[in-house]
Amino acid sequence: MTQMIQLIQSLGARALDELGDLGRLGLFFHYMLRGLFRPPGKFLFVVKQVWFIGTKSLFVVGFTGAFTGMVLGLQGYYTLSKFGSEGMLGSAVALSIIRELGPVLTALMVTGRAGSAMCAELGIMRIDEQIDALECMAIDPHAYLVTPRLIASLMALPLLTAFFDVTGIYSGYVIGVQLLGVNEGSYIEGMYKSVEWADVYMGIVKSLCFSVIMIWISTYKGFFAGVDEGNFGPEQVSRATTDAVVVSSIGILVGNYMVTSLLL
Amino acid sequence: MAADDIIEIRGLTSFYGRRKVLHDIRLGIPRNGVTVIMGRSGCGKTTLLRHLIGLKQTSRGQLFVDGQDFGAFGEDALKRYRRRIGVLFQSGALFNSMTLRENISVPLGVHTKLADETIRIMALIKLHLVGLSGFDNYMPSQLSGGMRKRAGLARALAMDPEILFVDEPSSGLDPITAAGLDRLLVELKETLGMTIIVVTHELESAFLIADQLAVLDEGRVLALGSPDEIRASTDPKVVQFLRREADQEETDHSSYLEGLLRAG
Amino acid sequence: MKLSVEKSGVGQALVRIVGNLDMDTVPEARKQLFRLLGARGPSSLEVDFSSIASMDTSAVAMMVELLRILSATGRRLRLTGLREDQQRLFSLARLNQAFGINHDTRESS
Repeated sequence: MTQMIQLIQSLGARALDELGDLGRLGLFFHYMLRGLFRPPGKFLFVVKQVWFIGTKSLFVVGFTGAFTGMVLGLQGYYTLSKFGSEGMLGSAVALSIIRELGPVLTALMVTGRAGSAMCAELGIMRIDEQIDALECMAIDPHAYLVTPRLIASLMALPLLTAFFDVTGIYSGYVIGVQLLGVNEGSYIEGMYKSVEWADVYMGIVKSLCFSVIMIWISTYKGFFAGVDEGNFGPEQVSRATTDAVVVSSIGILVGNYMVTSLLL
Repeated sequence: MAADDIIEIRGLTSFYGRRKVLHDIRLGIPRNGVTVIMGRSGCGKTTLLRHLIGLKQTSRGQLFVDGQDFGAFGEDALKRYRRRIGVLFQSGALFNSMTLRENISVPLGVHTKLADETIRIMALIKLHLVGLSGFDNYMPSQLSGGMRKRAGLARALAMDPEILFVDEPSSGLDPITAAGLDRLLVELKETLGMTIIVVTHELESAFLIADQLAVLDEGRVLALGSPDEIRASTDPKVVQFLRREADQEETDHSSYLEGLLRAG
Repeated sequence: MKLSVEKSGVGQALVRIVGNLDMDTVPEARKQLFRLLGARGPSSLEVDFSSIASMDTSAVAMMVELLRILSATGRRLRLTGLREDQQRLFSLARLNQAFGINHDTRESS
C-alpha cells in the first residue's frame, strides 16, 4: 500500500516539476520578446551574432544544399522516369527545396552548429555566475544575452535558407541536366511554371518560425544549465547542449508540420 | 539590531526544495562597517548572501533595506537597490569575451550617460585600485585566478556602490595578495564609508577586517558580535571553529571493519 | 548641478561648480567645460570644489581628462576648495601627486 502511495507521490512530484519547467520556458519566451523593448540595445552585438549564426554557417549550409540538390536530382529522375515525366525534374527539385527541404534542413544544420554553441556559451556563463553578476548589476540578462541572438537569427536564417535553395536547385540542375540528360529547357521552364510566390512565402515563414524555436530552446537550455540540480559544472553544460540540439530539432520538425498545414 | 543598520534580517528561513538551509536568521548589518559572515562549508552563509543580493526569494521571514521591506520590492525598487550595490562572486565572474576594461565598463555603459572617455578613465582608476594597472586590455582567460578575482572586485566597484558584497575573497589567493585585498576593503570602508559584507571561512582575514562577526552553523546564527566578543565566546562549537579543531572521530569502527572483511 | 565661469586675471578662468558632481551630472558638466575650453580657451583653469555637495569617481575621471587636455597644450589646472572627504576620493584613486593635492593645505599647487 505504501508503495502505491509513494508511486503516486513521485508521479505527482514529477508532473509538478514538468509543469513548472514549462511555465519557466513560457516566461523565458516572454522575457526574450520583452527584451526587444528595453535597454541595453547593442547593435554591434547583434551584428556579431549575425556573423556567428549566419556567416559561419555558410559552408555547412552550402555543402548540405549541394548534396541535397544532387540527391533530389538522382531520386527525382529515377521516380519521374517511371512515369515518363523526366522533364518535370526542375519543378520537382525546386518545389521540394523551396517549400520543405530548404527551410527545414537549413534550420537543423544551423541548430546543430550555432544552436549548440550558443547553448554552451550561456551554460558556461551560468556555471561561472556571470548571469548572476548581470542580474546583480541590474542588467536584464534576457535582454542582454538572448534577445540580440533572436534578432540576429531572424535576419540570418532566412538568408541562409535562400542560399541553401539556390545551391540545391543548381546542384539538382547539374545532376539532372549535365549528368542524366534531362532537357535543360524543360528543367528551367518547369521551375518557372511551378514555383509561385506562395511557395517562397512558405519557405520564409518557416525559416522565421524555426529561428524563434532554435533560439528560444537553445538559449533556454544554456541559461538554466545546472540550475535545477544545484550543481554547476561542465557535465551540466554538456548535457544542456545535447538537450538543446535534440529538443530544438524536434521542435523544428513539429513546427514544420504545423506551419505547413496552416499555410496549405 | 541597531537603529543604524542598513540591512536587517528578521526570522529568515530558507529552503532548497524541501531541505531547510537557514533557520530563523536574525541579523543586523551596520552602516559603514565591515560585517563578516563565517562558518564551515555548508553552514548556509552563501545562501544568506544570495538572499541579500536578491538572487533568492525570501519565502519565510523578512529582509529590510533602509527600513523598507525587501520582499515588497517590485522590479523598479529591486533595480534601484542593485544599482547601489556591488557584488564580487567567488570566481570573479568576469565576462569571457571582453577585456578587463570592457568588463568594468559594462554597468557604467548601461546605467549612465557618461562619455566613453570618462568611463575609460574610471575603469583604469578601479583597476589601479586593485593592483591591476596595465592589464586593462587583457582577456580574463589570460589571467591567473587571483587576478581574475581582483578584476571582479574592480568591476564590483565600478558604480561606486554604497554596499559591497564579497563572496570568499581569499579563496584561491596567496597570503600576500589576500592581505592586500583585506587592506583595500578596510580602506574602502574608511575612505568612502562603504558598508561591506564578506562571506568567508578564512579566520585571519575575518578577525582583521571585521567590525561585526556572525558565525553560522547548520543554518543558524551561532554567535554574533565584535571580534573580541567572538574570541571570548565559550560556546563549544564556536571555540572549535576558531581553534580549527577537526571533528572528534565518531566513526563506527565495527561496521567499517565488517565492510572491509565482508566477502565481496 | 550648476557650473559658473569667472574670468580672473589674464587668460585665467575660475570654474565654480554648485551641487552634485557625480555620474548623473558629469556628462552635462563635461559638455559645458569643453565648450569653455574650446574656442579661445583660458591659459590656466581653476576648479573650485567648495560648493560641490557630493562627488564620485566620475568627477575624478573628469578632472583627469581636463588635466590631460590642458597639460597637452601647456596649460595649468588647479583644484581648490577641496574638503577632507573629497581629497580622500583623489587619494583613493592615488592621484594626489598628479593634482598636487597635499593634505595640509586645501589647495593644489
